[in-house]
Amino acid sequence: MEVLKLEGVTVKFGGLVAVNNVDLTMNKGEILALIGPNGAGKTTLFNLLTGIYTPTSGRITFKQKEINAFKPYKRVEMGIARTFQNIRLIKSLTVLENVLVAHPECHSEGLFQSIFLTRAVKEKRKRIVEECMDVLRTVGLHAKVNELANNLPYGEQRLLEIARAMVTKCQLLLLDEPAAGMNSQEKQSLVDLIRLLSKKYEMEILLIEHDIRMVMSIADRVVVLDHGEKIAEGVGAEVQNNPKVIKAYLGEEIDENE
Amino acid sequence: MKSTRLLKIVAALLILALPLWLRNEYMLHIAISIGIYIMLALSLNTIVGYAGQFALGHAAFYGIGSYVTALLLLNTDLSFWLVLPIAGLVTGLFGFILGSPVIRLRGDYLGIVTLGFGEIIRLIFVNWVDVTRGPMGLPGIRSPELFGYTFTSSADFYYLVLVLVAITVLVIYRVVHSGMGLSLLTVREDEVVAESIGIRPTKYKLIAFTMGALFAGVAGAFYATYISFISPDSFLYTDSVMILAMVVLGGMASVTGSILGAIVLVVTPELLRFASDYRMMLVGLAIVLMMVFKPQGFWGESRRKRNFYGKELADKPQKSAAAVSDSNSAT
Repeated sequence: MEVLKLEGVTVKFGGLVAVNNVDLTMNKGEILALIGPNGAGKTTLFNLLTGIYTPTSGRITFKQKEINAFKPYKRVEMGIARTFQNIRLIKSLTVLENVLVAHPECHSEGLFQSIFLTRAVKEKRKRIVEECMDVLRTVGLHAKVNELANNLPYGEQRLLEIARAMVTKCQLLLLDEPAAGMNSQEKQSLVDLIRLLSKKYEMEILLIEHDIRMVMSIADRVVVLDHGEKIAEGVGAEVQNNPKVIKAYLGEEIDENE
Repeated sequence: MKSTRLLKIVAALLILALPLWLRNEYMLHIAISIGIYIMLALSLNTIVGYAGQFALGHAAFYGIGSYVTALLLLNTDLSFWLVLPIAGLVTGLFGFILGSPVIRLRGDYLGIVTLGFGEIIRLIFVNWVDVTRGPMGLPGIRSPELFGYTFTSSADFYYLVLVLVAITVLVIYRVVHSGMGLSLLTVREDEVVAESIGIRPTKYKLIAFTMGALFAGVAGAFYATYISFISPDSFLYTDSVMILAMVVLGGMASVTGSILGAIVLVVTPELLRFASDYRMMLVGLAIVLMMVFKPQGFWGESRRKRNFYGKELADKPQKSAAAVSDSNSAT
């Protein structure tokens, strides 16, 4: 079943066509990798899905509903959450607070509920904290809940971003280069985590990643973008041997006879 | 732990019994001023400290609250206890109206617009002579009455302001130590992140503006009935700056900080009276030195209580964590 569908999506910034006529579908429970050289339009595509940009033309459908004009917060409610390429945590908040604030019931707490702080509200808060702790346990940050986000090592900050996205109770998780800056051991545990999330929460995961070995080991399908256009799509080896993809990454072969 | 609790009880008793051991009108007046400025600094802190909106026109909200109260008490028979919430709500409404266009602006631009708003309000007080009597001000504002007892002495007003400060502190403390407070801090730090996790920045900024204005209006209402005479001169640009200085000096995004800031900036000029003409210069110098050597203020955000949300639980996981990590590594 299709969860996400892009039909002929194009974004132009003035004269620059950042994403050109891209078709894309994501099926239930799928892990899809988005690869391509720098400036290929991968992050722009993410921003389209989260609502930071709206497409110049084309249609984005999520759960059988057109979401072209939906505001970012609305899309979060519908179940799209993301992480950022350059880590964006709230540095002055603790690990737990960074996750808490993303919990839908935490930021929807009414003004009078906060002021009168009845037993029921306290119970609710307890439940919210417990749910957040569950997610933090899944990513392995439960022992650091009292630390400020700023004091975490780089790899753990990335995990915290994933936890924050998870807490929004998303159906579709967008990971923008989640392994950037990680060592090979951290990468391996990240791969395990992504698999676990995909299985445990039955969610769809779309990830941008440059590490081809990691992409091949984790993704059900791979989509390649270059200059804003989709140049290939398919399972691992298919894409790797596609001449267009090789050209995009390595350039054209020079004729040796000349 | 136990000694801090004892200290708190002693402090509370001293504050409650202040009019008994401080039998001095002048001292009591300063105590009441501190109360008014605590309300003003706290309300501005929700806007500047928590929502991160650099507003420079807080005296305007203070003035609106005062004028609404004065006009209602002079022209109608309404009881002060009804006028007080009305003044708060009307001022809150002004905060909402000003906030709606202004929250789309950032930083310095927002500062300039709120500055302009403050001046506009003051000029209305000066020029709308039919209603406000212009620069002559509004004299003879009624004192509050409670069950036939009229508030007259400074001690009466001291207890009134004490109650109002307690309510203000409680409400603002509860709000900033809630999901709303966390959301405000997130909006202040990074609006893109806030949107990416389902928080609407405009909504939270507007709530902060409205709430800040509302409590400034309450402070204004108290001021009008306490002094019993108001004029546009009480709500100048310099007052806005003074309130802002209290917030910054005390510590942004900190309830304790605002209280400390208000106390210090009300008391210091009084202590420096011996220096007569130089006293405001000395206060200025103190602020400059403070900002150079301790820019986060007396009680800055770094002293914030961490993981206040669902506090009881956040302490526990440390213990259960070990057990869980074992089961995790096993899989």
